[in-house]
Amino acid sequence: MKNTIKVQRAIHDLTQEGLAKKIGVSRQTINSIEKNRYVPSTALALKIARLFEVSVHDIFELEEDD
Amino acid sequence: MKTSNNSLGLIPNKFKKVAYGLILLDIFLGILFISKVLPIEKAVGLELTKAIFLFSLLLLSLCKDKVEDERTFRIRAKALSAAFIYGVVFAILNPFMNLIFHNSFFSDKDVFEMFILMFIFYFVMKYMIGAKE
Repeated sequence: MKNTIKVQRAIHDLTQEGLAKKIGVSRQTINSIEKNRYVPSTALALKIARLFEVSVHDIFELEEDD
Repeated sequence: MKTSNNSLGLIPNKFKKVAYGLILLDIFLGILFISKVLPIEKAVGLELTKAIFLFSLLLLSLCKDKVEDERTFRIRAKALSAAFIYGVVFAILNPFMNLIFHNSFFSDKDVFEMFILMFIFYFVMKYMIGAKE
């Protein structure tokens, strides 16, 4: 699953650490999501989308093999 | 919507220091028993150090990470299942390994050693899965 968290972070001028603190996870979790090594739960995806004030579909997108 | 993963009932991170302290104390006690400074039989002392060491590892495994989230929950679950499988496979293969290397079918490992090995495997797996994911 692809995601645009890195882009959204740049738009909102947030570091991985800053984003992690705002949604209550570790920096490593944000890093893993950005590198597509970890697929977040629905709750975490919703939290990220709410923070960036966009829809979940604007951040996460299914790939062909998903 | 409940999104917290603290249903595991983990204890606060500060107990990690207690666990490390116990491990150091245990090593110190072990040295005292081996060097016969303490007037306790060596076998009794050894069992006591094993019990303290096992308790320290249990405490360490029950401590929360600095930031506990759904990813750490997943890593814990994976490491725990890997350690369990390792323990079972080890228990099955150990008599045969003993037969090959020590010419005896009976295991010389007691339950303490078995659990200590499982805990060590758990911590190694937790670290490796955490680094990979």
